[in-house]
Amino acid sequence: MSDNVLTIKDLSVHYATNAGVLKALRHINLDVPRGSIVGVVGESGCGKSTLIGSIIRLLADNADVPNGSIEFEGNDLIKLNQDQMRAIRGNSMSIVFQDPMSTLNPVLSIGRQMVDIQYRDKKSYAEKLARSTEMLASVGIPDPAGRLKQFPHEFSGGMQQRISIAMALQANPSLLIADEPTTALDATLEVQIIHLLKELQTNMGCSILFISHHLGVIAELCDFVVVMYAGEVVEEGSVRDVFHRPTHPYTQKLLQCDPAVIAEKSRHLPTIPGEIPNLVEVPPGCVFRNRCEQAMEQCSTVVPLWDECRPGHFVTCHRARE
Amino acid sequence: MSNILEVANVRVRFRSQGALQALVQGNSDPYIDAVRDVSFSVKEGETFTLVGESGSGKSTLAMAVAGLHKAAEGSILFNGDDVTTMDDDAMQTYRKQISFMWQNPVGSLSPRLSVGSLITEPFKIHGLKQQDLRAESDRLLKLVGLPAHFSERYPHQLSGGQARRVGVARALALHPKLIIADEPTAGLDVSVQGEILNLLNRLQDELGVSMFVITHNLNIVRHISDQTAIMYLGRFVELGDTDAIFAQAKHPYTLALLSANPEADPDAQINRIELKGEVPSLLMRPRGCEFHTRCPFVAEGCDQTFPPVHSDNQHWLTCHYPR
Repeated sequence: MSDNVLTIKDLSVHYATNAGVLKALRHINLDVPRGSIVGVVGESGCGKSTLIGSIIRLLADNADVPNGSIEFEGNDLIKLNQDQMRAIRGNSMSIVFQDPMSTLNPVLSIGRQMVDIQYRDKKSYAEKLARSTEMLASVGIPDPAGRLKQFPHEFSGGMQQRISIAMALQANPSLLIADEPTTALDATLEVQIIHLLKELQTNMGCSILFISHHLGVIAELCDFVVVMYAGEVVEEGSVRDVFHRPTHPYTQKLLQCDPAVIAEKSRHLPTIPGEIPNLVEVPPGCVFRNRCEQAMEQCSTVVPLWDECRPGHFVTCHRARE
Repeated sequence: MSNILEVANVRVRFRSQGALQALVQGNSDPYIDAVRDVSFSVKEGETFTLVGESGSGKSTLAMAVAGLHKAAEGSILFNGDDVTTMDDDAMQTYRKQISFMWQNPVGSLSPRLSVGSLITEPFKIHGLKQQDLRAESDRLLKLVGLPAHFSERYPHQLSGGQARRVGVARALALHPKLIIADEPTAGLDVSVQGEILNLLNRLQDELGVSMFVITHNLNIVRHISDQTAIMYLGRFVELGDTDAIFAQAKHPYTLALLSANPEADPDAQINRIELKGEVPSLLMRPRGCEFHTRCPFVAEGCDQTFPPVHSDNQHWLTCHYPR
């Protein structure tokens, strides 16, 4: 067995739309090594949600996967049928969504919901309840037994997100997908949740695929980073390589333009001019070239290759080796 | 420079129990104070920023300033006129001079109206029909850096950043003297956040409009703001010049907010002031200093008496043991 929990090879996802075939993901390669936290960074429209959807096989009806494989625990997820997929979801692979309020059912108590999702286990109700109490305690909710009787609206946003993390980890999954779990939270709670995830990951040994557009959170939490732009992975490597020596112009720009990171007071903040290209008619050559300051002539004709510029640090850019 | 907005000792209350329920339970004060004893002023042509976490009362205060919530106590003076005592006519004149940018950029635009109709709607609402709406729409779109053909588009055809620009254009329609912006960058990508902050700065330089900005992200504040206030449980805990707040914040809560910004450097050594627990309920405000339940520097007396006010040279805070 390889030491990767999840291996995505050459994955493409297309959507059939009225305007034509929208190529939302194009030839994605991504590995999640066992016991590590992999961050996926990218802005709106870069295909993060489509990527999650294809891993858990919950894509919209008009989606099509023309090529690629997603290997998870010896199975190619693309080839599994719905029943086999259902056995994996929530069991060996689970997910924490962005908005905790809409993750939890408002009309059922927390305890009921936490017991319900253990439906696969042949245990008594009392045992399942005990397991739920234990999980709530492990995410730092005081008086877990008492709070199991309460309803989602009685918890604050940060606590709701802790509960959804507890629920996702209840079945001891080998892969946890976290889809922007801190975006809906305040800054001080965000820090709490990051520390909680890191602690749980160390204790339970699961791998985490952490999706975010917040570079700071990724830098603090993750071991590896994947940078996505317009449906492609443009850079991939260890956190230190990518953040200390960003090689793709998009990553460099992204790191420069976060207004929260710029310590000097400035009334003219750096931005990335231009817009994401239309993915129905993907332009030839490099997908970032029309917003890139370092573009050369061949960028508009030749698609840059997936190149290992340093050991373990991959990038798709013609200038990567300069 | 004169003050365009002066807010003094404002308190905004909401009823928490019905009259009968309160009587039965013997609750003589069935209200919660969402905003309590808040005072500040906004100078003409300057930006005042209010920072705080969810539930701290930021939006309530902004709505009280816009006259959408009634202040139970205190006064809100706009160019010398008290907003809290205005009659309907005066209120309408007042609302022509201020404008509100709502938090959710797409959600604050009606999905059934084109961008052109949306940004010229303020003229219709205030009965300014003689204006050439087409020209106004072109002028406003140009002002916020959108091409004129965008007036034909509908909100679902806009990206988050474009929708925010439309919101800015709409806010600028009637040449307001004060713009209230509720979380102008929330929900936007980092590269777009910079664009919007640049836009707000440029408009302020060109038009001289004053701004009252609300945000929970303390770290974007330094680029746009002249004065900053930090709010916790409906009260200001620290208030001062933005440069002073960033250089020498003294309240533990401000320090915690400042250090809660994860840095985009995996090797960064962050001396983080981490807060424990959750924000207390407004129904049961903690005794003494209201921050003492989460404060990492809590010491003797913090849970007993309300902290004293320290004020020097435009820097104001309430804490027993400022750092």
